[in-house]
Parts: sequence; C-alpha cells; structure tokens
Amino acid sequence: MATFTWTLQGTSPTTIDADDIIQFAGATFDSPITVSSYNDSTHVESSVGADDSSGNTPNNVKFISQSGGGGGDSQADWGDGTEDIDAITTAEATLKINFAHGSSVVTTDAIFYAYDGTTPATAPTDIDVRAFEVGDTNFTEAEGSGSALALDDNSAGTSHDYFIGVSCSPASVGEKTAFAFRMELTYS
Amino acid sequence: MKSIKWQVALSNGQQILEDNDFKNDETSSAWQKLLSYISDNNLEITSLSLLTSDNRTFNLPSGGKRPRFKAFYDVEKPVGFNFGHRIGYDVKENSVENEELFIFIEATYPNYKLQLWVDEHNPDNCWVLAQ
Repeated sequence: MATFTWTLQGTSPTTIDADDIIQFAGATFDSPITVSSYNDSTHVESSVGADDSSGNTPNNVKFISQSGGGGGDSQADWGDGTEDIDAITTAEATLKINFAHGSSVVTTDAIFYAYDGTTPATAPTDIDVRAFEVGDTNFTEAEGSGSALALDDNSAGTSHDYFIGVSCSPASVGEKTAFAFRMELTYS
Repeated sequence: MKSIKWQVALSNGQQILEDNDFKNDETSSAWQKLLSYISDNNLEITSLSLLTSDNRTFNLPSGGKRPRFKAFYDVEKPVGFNFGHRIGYDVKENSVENEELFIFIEATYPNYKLQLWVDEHNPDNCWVLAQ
C-alpha cells in the first residue's frame, strides 16, 4: 500500500489533507500579495476556508532572486534575511512530502510542479511559481509538467521524504484558483 | 481494486510470478527481490508480463528465442526489461480523489524504450508508449 503525506512545515507540522489547499499570502492568512511580489506567509486552508496551520507557525520561503547569490545561486528569505538557497535545512523548507510503502521500494523520476488544476501540462494562470528541493542551488520555474522540478532518486526503503521550498507571485490582481500542485514518482 | 502482478521468464527457464516465494526476504518489494535474485544467480529476464486478477495478460515483446510466429521471430529483441508503479498526487481545491496509480512494464532497446501502462484503478485501460 502506497501513501502520500504532504505537510506544511513549521514549529509544528500541518498535514495537508485531501481537500485542503496551500495558501500563499501577504503578511497574514487571507491577505493579498502585491502583484509581482512574492509570498510573505504560507498556510494550509481547509475546504471551508479555515486556517488549519494557524497554531503551528508555518514556514515561509520567499523568492528573492534567480541567480543573484554566490556563484550564481538563487536567493530566498526563509526568516533570517536573504540567503543562498543551498543554505536552507530540511526543517526550514516549505513542504515535507512523505511517500511510504509497506515494502521496501526504490523511488525514481520524482517530479513536483504547479499547474492550472485541470491539465497538468498547463501552467497555472497568472502566477509565477518557483520551487527547489533542499540541496539545489537554483529555483526551478515549476509551471506545468514540462517544466517540473526534478527530485532526487531514493534508495530502497519504506519511507521517503522530499523537502521542497516553494514561492509564488501573482501576475495580476485577484484570487488565483486555477492553481494546483502535483507530485509524481515511480516506485518498484 | 483488482490486483495486477508481474510475471517474468528468466534465462534459466524459470518463471516467477510476483507473489511467488522465490527468495527469502520479508521486507523488500517483490521487484527488488527479483533484481537481487537475478544478480545473485547471474540471470537475465527474457520476458515480462502483467497479469490481472480477472485473468487478463499484458505482454511485452519477448527476448525468447523460440516464438511461435515468424513476425515475433523477426522482430528486434529487447536488451532489458523494467517494471514500476507510477503514482501521481494532487493538492488542489475541492479535490477528494487526488491520487492516480498506474503500473508499467518496459522493454529496453538500444535506442528507445517500449512501455506498457495499465491503470491500477481500472485495469481495462492500457496504453503503450515509445520513448
């Protein structure tokens, strides 16, 4: 039996249940992000619009630059000011995605990306999405399956963790709902 | 959900079904056990199929040397085989059924791969991909 568990990390983790969404916001839950700026907070929003992560001090990773860091590294701010993204720890990443299986399996060809919620190949509408796996030196514009963030292969085990930083910016005014995240992997 | 299992033929003539007790290993997946068994005994896979619990069989081109029909004899033989499950999981608004699960078998040729995919939630659906 294979299971995925997505969590928004923080002082305590918040599980992202099947009908929850990840909300990228301004300074607080439900507050807007200025057009062409990036998220100042990240939350788990329930299907009825509640902030499920309110008591967990959720992590936030904010995109700063694509190649302005040392050696052309990308930069982000995850609470300590601007840093190269290869300095982030697993505990500081936005998302922890766990894949578990009852038997020991190898995982390969894992990818993570955002899409419009309907067609995986189509980028989300009017949103710039940047993502990286902890250990990467640069963000990937993970918009649509053709531009997915490639994740590391994992050797045999019953539990596989993926730590991902993600940051988003609106290109126009208004709530963005043509927007979903997807992960795919092969196990054997 | 109907179960789908792989079946292989090996270069020593042995046939193994996924849930056969062919190697003493209670923790690894059946495919990882098979790869270990093949390595330990210096064997090769000569054919790979998927079997469903309602007796459907999905076959890749075989690497065997004695096919029944000329068309099978003449065709290029795979140089390797592979197997996997491909799982996709979505986080999106109002999504309750957010997981897709496929099983695939793969025949490897020098310059391309031939994959046969079956939907594990609906094994009546199958696709063939050339990569």
